[in-house]
Amino acid sequence: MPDLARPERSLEPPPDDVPAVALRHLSKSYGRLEAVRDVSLDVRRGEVFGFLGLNGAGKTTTLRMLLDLLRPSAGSAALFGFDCQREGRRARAFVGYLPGELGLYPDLSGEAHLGVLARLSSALVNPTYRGELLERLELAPADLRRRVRDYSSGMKRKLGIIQALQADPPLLLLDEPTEGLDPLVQRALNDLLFELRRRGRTVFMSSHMLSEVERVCDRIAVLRQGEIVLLATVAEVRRRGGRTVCVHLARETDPIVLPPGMTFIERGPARWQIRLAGDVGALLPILANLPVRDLEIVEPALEDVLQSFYRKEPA
Amino acid sequence: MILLAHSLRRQRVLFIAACVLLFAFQILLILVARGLEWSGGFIELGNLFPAFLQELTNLAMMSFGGMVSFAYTHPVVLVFLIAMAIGIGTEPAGEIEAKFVDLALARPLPRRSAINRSIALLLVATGAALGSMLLGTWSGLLLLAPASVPGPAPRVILSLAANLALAVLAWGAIALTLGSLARRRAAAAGTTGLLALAMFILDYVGRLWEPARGVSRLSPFHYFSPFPLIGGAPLPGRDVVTLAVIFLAGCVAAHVVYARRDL
Repeated sequence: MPDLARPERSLEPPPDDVPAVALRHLSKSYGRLEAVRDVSLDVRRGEVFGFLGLNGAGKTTTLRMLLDLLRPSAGSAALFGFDCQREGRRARAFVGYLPGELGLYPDLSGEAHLGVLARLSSALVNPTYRGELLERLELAPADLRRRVRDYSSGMKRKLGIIQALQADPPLLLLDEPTEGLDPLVQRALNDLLFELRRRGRTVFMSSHMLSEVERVCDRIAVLRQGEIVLLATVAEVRRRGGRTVCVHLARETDPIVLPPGMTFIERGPARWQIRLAGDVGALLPILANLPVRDLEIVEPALEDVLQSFYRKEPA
Repeated sequence: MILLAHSLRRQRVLFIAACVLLFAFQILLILVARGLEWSGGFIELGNLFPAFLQELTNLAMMSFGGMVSFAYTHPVVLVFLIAMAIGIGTEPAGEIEAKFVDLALARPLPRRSAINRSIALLLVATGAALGSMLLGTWSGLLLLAPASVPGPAPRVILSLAANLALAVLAWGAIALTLGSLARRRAAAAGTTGLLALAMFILDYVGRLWEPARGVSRLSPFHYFSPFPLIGGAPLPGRDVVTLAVIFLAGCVAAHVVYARRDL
């Protein structure tokens, strides 16, 4: 897939080595309900960061505080070192935002929406770049001329993604970007995000789709009831889950005593499943003396690991 | 400016239709006044008025010039223009409700731009509406007025138009304040509409019933007194200042409320 053409003039954030997104003890309360509680994290430049959590966990509230659409009850948020409240306009000059709920006017065409939103951005939009985005996300020029009332939910989502990306901002805040997209367009969007990361763009996205997060994100934070309960790289999260080794035996074999850090999940006469917390190396000398027919090492799915963080206190 | 152009573009059909209707209404009223003038129907019509209305209006519009001027105080025109001002003033609430605010204000725009846009739109729309009315009156008088009958003095028409424009702007600013507070446009528009109706009744009662006269000063309609103007009285400076202050106070309140709230 060829690289996207660069826009004529793209916004470059300040050269200082400050994080793209910095949250410090950020909180938001609605009366007695604490929607976001003491959230602190940094998103480094050039990183794709996944913000995960169940509905109502506080993901959208956090994103909207970054844009000064909501005012924090406590703490602060900054984009490229600019405080989101005190220097909101400068901070937002670097942002492309895809809201979870798109506020499009049914009586306006997709083209009219892109036009007015481009004019409201502080960067010029390169028509070639926008054209390539449209092509990659499979939104035809004829569709763009139609009124939004005639769009499917997937087409509206594509339009939302294009309006966020069209000025090629240094930071993308994407709220559930693949919601309502078909698998092919989801793949196309993931490819786009890879390319943007390669060009040094930062992506801060919320998502329910763990397979997508696993594929595109470098780091993730899991939010539960407004609090961060996990902040780690995707690789670290996978390691927490532990790999599973499936041992297929040629004949019935007496059970063995496993070294520390390993537990049996299943212990059949000719098939064992062992959960590993660390490397597989410690297991190999033990298996060498057994009639092993085959060996499978299964990497844990992010979903399995994160289930525990979504609903209850992690162990 | 971009937001203003966007709002104007979205509502251009509505605005053009409103201007055409107001223009046509002036022409229609001049045709009716001409017909009554030719048939001598003004005296008969005046006698049909109940006593309290005769007292309230001094039968100021019972002449060709008076009836032409009446267009600037006609209840249909007043309701139409105030409804338009409420529609414009509640646009910030509409944008929050429709979530367009998330797309617009996620860009490097100050929050005040949404309110400034609505104020500018209010001024443009009121100016265009009153401009169409004045154009209708002028062209109607030029083309349709009976030759021997004097039309209303230009000073009277301009005073009426100014008083009406200020009343509309005042209600627009009240709607803007409520529209900056609300999350639902219908709630803001409904509240402003009910408030306008209550204030209209209060003013009406104050004009007819002496004990309520003091309280009726709270109504913005108290400062919209077209009948003395039709009779030739100058536009009172107190009315101009009060309506202008209501407009400015509404704009400032809208800015303050919108700047502090969650969107």
